[in-house]
Amino acid sequence: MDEKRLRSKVRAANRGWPAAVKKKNWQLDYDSGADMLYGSFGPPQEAYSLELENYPSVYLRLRLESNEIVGFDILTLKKGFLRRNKRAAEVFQPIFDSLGEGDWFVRTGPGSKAKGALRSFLFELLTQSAPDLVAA
Amino acid sequence: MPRIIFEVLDRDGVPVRLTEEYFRHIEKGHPEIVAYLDQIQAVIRAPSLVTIDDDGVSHLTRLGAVSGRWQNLYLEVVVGYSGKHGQVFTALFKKVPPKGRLIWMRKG
Repeated sequence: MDEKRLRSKVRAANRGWPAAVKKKNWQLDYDSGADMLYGSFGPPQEAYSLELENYPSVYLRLRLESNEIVGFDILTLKKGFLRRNKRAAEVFQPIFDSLGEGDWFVRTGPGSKAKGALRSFLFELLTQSAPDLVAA
Repeated sequence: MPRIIFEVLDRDGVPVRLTEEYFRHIEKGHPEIVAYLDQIQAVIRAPSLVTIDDDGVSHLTRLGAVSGRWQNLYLEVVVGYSGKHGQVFTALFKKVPPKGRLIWMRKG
């Protein structure tokens, strides 16, 4: 499929997405062996993946037919993404400090204080780095 | 010792494995992939294109590797190579090909 056309479809399917996703419970599953973070808005769903243009190691997860954004992945989180993004490293550090260097899994809701900074950062990352996909 | 779900040789004859600890995350995070373990192995053996990302991770991809609901998509297998073997990090479907640096493409 032509990528420009696909991105236009994704944008159309996700009008109002930022407001909707803020209300959801997020799940974050870190695989330390693969150094990969699996993120989902609500329980993980079957989806296809689309790379963010400015962050090639960050993928959006979208429902096949509707193109609704249901999650995201960050590949090479520590060895790549956090090394290239100082602010991201600062936000993730408390998580690694409290949960350790191995695998971890967290759920975070709209009112979450403990993981609030991480949630806010990820929300910003996804909305600001893909403005063509997630218009408010 | 982690249980090996499968081990296959890639196009260069390098053994690539998927172990249970990685598979548990894939199963949870990418539930659409679980039914396609045979096709993932087929992509590792004979990809259509191989790219490498900025962090040195390989992405082995083939269009139309599966039938059914996901048939018109690219199946991408993300593999980390270390020493003389590779480990499947994850696998996913895409509507557009990967963006990394192309290192090999099947001719014809």
